[in-house]
Amino acid sequence: MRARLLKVAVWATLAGALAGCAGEGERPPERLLDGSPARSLPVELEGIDAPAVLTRARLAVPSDLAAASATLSCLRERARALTPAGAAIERVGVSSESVTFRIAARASPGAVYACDRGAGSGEPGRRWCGSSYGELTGGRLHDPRLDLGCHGRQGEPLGFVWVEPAARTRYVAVEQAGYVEVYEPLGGLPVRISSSTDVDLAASRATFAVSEHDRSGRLVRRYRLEAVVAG
Amino acid sequence: MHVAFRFAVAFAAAFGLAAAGSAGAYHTRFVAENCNYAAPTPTSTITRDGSAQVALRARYEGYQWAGGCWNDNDRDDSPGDPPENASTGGEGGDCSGFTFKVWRESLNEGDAGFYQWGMLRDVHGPYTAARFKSGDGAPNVTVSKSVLLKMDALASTGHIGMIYAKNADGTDQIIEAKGESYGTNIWTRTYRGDSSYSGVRRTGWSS
Repeated sequence: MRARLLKVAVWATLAGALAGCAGEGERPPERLLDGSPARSLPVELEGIDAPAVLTRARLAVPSDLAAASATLSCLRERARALTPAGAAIERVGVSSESVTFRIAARASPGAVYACDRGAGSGEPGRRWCGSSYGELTGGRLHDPRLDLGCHGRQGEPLGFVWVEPAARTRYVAVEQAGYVEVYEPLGGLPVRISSSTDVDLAASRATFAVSEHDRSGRLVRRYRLEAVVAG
Repeated sequence: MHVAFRFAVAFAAAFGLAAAGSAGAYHTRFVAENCNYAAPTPTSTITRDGSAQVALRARYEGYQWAGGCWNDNDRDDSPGDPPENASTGGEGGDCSGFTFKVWRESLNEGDAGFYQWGMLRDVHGPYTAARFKSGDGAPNVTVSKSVLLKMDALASTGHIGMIYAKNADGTDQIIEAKGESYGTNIWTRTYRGDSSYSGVRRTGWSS
């Protein structure tokens, strides 16, 4: 009887510990890079089991930028010669932030530009650790324009790329270590995403596990985006 | 006659299908058959003239988007690759990969040391032209275009080339990996007078 009780106690302790571990591991980050609370998604995403965190995105109009805005610092720090055409998209995630804007076309076919920042990057006087430029043909990018200049909270290398969502995509889910980060397409611009899960600095390449979902969370498409530094 | 006709039709169809198939999966074998992943050799003394010699070995060797591997036979061994396709496996560097290798930089952006990469080492490095233009990485700084020296660079958001020589009329002879249709060579350019280009310097030269 005592032996059986002991066995039950051991199993109960083990099960509790495992449940505790699983609970710990599945808890999504509670804050975004700027300290604001991370929001949960209004819908469940089909095929996503890991906890999901919704990143924040907002349109920033170039003629009406606050002095401390991400877009203004991007323009001043890295893109002085460039003039945005239309609104910029400012995105804040758990370990990264970015600004994307279309460049006023001096010549067809136009282009987009991004400033990138990671939680573990930063030199005095510099907010941004990376940037990308991508030419558009027929409104689309030739290349996702990988940037490997930034690092996450623990110093892990971050990769940034643009994805071009399908027309009915409302959520772009990107695999992170232990959770999924979700981006909402905005302003008709490519969506700047980041991840640290599969970054190979020696080969200057990164792979992103991405799924796209419609407004009800249904899966639109799932793919692995492999990108290399180029140009 | 009938048999010959049928054979000709079948042959034409097979040829057409084969051509269509290879067009859909275009790649060359240059990188796979010639390039390596050897570690670079750390080097302490580096001169601008020495780097110019490194650059000249890539002259006429072609262009490959995201590439960084070439031989020295003065011809593009993979001409006509589809542009801006990183998987075509052709000979040559792209503009930023060429600059990275000629400036003998490290894959670690925090390391400003000099590293000699073999010509046939397939390496691009972490920088794009846009990032060189911003002076990203420990070895790189932005400088005024009025003080640029041999083997400094002029970079825009989409392109970078190094100064091989200055011309008397204010233009420069730029050594650059220009594009699939152009390859890698020296051309007279007006980048210095173009406001979209900035001056960039690799620091630490011996002379």
